[in-house]
Amino acid sequence: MGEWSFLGDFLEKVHKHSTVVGKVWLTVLFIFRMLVLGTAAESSWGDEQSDFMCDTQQPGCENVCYDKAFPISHVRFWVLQIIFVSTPSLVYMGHAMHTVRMEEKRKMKEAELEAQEKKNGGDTYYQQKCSMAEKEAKLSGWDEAGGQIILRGSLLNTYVYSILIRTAMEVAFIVGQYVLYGIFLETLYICQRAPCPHPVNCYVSRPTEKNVFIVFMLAVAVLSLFLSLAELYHLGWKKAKERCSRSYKASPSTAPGRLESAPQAERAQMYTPPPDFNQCLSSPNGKFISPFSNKMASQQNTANFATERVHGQEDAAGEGPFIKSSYAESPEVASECAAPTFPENYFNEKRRFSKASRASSKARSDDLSV
Amino acid sequence: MSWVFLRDLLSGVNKYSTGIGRIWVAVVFMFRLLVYVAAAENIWKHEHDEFECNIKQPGCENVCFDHFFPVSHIRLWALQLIMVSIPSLLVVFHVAYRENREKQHNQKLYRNPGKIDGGLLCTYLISLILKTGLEIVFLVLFYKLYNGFKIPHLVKCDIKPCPNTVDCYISKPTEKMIFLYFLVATSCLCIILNLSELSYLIFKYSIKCYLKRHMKKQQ
Repeated sequence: MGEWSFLGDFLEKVHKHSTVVGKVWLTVLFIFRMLVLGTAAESSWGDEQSDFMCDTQQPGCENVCYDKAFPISHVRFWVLQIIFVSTPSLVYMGHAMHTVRMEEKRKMKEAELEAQEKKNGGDTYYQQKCSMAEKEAKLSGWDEAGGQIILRGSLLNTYVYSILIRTAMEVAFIVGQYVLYGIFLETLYICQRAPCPHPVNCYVSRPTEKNVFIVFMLAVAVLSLFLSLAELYHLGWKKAKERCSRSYKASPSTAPGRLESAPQAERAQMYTPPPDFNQCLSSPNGKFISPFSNKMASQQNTANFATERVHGQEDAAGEGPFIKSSYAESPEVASECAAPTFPENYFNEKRRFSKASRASSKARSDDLSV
Repeated sequence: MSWVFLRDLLSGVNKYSTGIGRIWVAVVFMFRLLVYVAAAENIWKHEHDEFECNIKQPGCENVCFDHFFPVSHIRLWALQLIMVSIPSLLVVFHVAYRENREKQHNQKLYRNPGKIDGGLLCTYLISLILKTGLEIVFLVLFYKLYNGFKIPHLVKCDIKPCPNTVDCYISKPTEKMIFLYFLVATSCLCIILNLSELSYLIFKYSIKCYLKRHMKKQQ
């Protein structure tokens, strides 16, 4: 079991950043596959060749018959199955880490640039606010407090592809096992291969015990397959639901006062926006978005804000990041926002911003007009 | 002493690697180390006991086994894993040396001791070249020692004290061959990763140099 700690450590991280169904899948993998394989199944197959008996004295006959009966042992087959089925999750994890790292690097660079510009002079109030905001924006896409990545955009695509590949691998290995061995192991194997002088009866060791484990591992593989399909369905259903609700709520005119996400902020910084916009970027207490009392909501907004900035390019044609697979609550704006320093106008726009933040991060030319 | 030691070493290497370097570490852990420890070791466990020759002459099996397997596949595989991981330590040592130097002089000598530039870049490139070289050396060794990557189920042996040409049967040849091909495939994948990382770094830093010179000329 110690050898599986290599994989276990990697998958722990994946466990933190998966959906609920994903977490269940990983638990099934750890407990029902790795643990069972490492502790029970290995010892059951331990004497597979030494106790494989053939009814002949011909030297070499047992060797060749065993090789013909078991081209690859069940246990090794399951080891490869676990490794190949886990790999897509690791690829997703790699992508997530890479995205977060890139975002953090970019934020650091911008913070440095702003700090430099601040030294050189310029609008100190504005620069101060923006540099503070930049530092806070390090949280983008990575909720440090909750320790969870928000699934959207290309990251969500990677997650979906990883589940698809994982499903394909499961099916391939289940079919492969069926093709190689069928479902059950027979006690008697009749072997005809040189140097055996004639068809020889060979007896498999512990066939019943092995059958129990074979059926168990097959059932767990089918369960994992089912969980993967359920996760796909869940993600697809959420996406469809989001699309429906978005198309239902979409107003015909793109409101000129509607605040866009980070790409606008970038633009704003370049073109010296009016004071209102600065207030929208940061608040007196230094948080990126207006002070929601719901911590998760504010963190999610931070994540939304900066992730849309990153994926602004990808969200062309008004599609936008569409599915959030973390289970953070959407901010209940109306009841919780209390920002006496902000104008009423901004408040309404903020509400629209938070709900529409998934709609599009595409820049619109009329958005900056006040 | 176990493989956990190697895992801890490589985890340290991960910090100072490029993106491709991290993929290389993941491939080494998942597809080579884990497969070795969880699967391959057990296949070759009783290879000598299960090696059978069609003769009752004492000592014949021993000499035949020794002739056909001077170094067992599994031992060569383990050596390969260790040798291929060692060059990465050069980078770790160099970073440690930099940090030590900063401590001694009590001032910030490097913008970031872990960033791949200057001397550390050379060390990194050398480690990549060494890794690739060692992979190729071991693949060639496998090929030469065992006449290709195939494992026959029957070998003919006529070394003393075997009185005549004797049939000897290798245990689990198909399973061993599957994992040997797996080893070769992952080695080739690692070679490709190393070469792409090498070309990426050379390309990136030559562009940087060129741009610097260009800016200087303009000034």
